[in-house]
Amino acid sequence: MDDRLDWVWYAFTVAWVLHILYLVSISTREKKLREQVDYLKTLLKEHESKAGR
Amino acid sequence: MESVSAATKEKALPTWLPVVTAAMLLVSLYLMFMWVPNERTMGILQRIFYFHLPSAFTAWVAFYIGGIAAIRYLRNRDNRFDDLSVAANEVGLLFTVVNLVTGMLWAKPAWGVYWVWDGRLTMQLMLALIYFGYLILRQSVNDPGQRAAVCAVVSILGMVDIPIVYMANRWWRTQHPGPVMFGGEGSGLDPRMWFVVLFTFVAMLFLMWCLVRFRRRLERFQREVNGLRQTIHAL
Repeated sequence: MDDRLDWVWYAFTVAWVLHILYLVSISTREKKLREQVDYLKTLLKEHESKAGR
Repeated sequence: MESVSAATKEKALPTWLPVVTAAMLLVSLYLMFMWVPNERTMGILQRIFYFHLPSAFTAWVAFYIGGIAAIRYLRNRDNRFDDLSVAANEVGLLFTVVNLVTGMLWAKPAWGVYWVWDGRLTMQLMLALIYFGYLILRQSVNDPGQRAAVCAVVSILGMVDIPIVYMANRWWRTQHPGPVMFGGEGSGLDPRMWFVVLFTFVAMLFLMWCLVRFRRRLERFQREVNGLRQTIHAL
């Protein structure tokens, strides 16, 4: 088998790994932001209920 | 106050989009590894080209989307265009990095070195650095309106660099292979190779659009967080 195949394999692996890492990074960032949204909404409700008393 | 969006309720992608993208990427892998013939001089190594070239084209399309969205943001200050601009530019940078890395992994066995300061390579690296700087700039300006306006200008400047990258291997003929499209006599590809390049390019455009939509939703979440914070501070 042509030993240049190894370089083709490296190139394709790196390309896909970069895409997958980027997707993971987006998912992680989104998860953190969702948590922040939930936390801030709870905080806002608490503020509003205190103000309503 | 920044508007509180309905990002949490928004679906990132219509169901058909990732399905079509995955199918097209699988078909393109089949075409580039099983269907298209080996190139005469480089042999199997040339198959890197089927990922390398379309990733550059896809990055350029993403940067143009980002640049046009930036122009539209500057014209009407609509945050949706800023969201689209940052999403397209970040995804464009990803494809540029893929292009640079696959190029280096092709260059090592072909030229004996990973990198040379050739015109095309240097200009493509500069393009990546412009957008890397763009992302750093976004982190360093606090005021949302000012951040969006300054970044829109950088995005437009980055877009202007793309024709220079494209023309670099015509203007400065050094190490990078000559142009394969519109390169005059002696340039061009076997029609089957062209077909694989174009098919992979379209598949990558679909992939790029999926990633842009995911990334754009992230920006909307951030805007929602900022809006909620401001509401709480105002209470």
